[in-house]
Amino acid sequence: MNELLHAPMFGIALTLCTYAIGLFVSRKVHSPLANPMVVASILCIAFLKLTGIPLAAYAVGGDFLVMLIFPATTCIAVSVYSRMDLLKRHFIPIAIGCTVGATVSILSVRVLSRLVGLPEILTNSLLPKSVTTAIALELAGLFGGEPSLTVVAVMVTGISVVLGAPFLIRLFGITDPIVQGVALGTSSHVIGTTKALELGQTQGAMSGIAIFITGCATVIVSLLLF
Amino acid sequence: MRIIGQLTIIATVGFAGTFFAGLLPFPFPGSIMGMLLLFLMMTLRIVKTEHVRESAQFFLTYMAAFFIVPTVTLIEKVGMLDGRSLFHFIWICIASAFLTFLATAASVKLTLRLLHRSSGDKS
Repeated sequence: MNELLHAPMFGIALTLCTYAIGLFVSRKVHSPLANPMVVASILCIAFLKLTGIPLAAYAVGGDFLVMLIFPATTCIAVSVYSRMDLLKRHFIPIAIGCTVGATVSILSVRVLSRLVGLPEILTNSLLPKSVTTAIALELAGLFGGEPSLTVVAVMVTGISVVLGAPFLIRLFGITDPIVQGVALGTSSHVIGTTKALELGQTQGAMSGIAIFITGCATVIVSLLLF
Repeated sequence: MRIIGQLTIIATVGFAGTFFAGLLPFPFPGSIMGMLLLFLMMTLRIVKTEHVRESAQFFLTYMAAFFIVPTVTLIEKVGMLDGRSLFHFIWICIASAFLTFLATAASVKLTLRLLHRSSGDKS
């Protein structure tokens, strides 16, 4: 039995099965809380806890899937290239917005964490929270944060912005689709982009571009600050 | 044949990203360098969209599946989070996210207004 559980296919099968369930649930329940990845992670954790199967056994196959984050990150270039004309047309506002956003994100985490005396490793895990998960995981390693906490921070960020954005948009009278799209993409990455697509095509496309630029801006800003 | 060709391009560009990132005098993620390289190569039309389309689409659509494993390792890390740190961790995350949203919105709005004014059209 032990040998069977340490087979690479166990971790891969469990992850993909729970992800399939997550996709199904998110299609039925239209809420940002029913995120396929969140559902799948909770199911995996519950499964491992209930069966008492060690994380190390799960990780044998699981690590194979983690490796695929690398080529997936590289492929983000393709999604941005397909919106090249929009990027060219609005490059200056996008670049400025994303750079300001990335800086505010990093500085606000630093300042607030220091105020409440959050342990260093938690602060470092929070720093890359506004960029897309693939890039955030890389940055967590760079900052000395804990990757699993960074994923949680990325998810909490994405979901809270999506829930809060309609309120913020009304409160501050943000009507321009370009402004809406860039703000959503910069603050809440892919989860924000799904919301942006609900608001309109322009918002969705701008948000997608903003993910890429914010990722680059966050890397540059953090290199300059640390 | 087509898919294997696409995966070969993605893997090779990714590896080139790791190589060039290693040449920099500061730590830089190889996957992000790979992303920038692929973007550059597409802009220069060395790589065309149809050279990578289906595979890239697959990676982009189901990328979230690859983040499940890092999240599950939380099981072993719960010791790092007592109730108080967890509370701070979450509210700082949300507060900073809203600040980021508003700061981005304000700066884009301001930039657009300045650009309109300098180009002299509208308003």
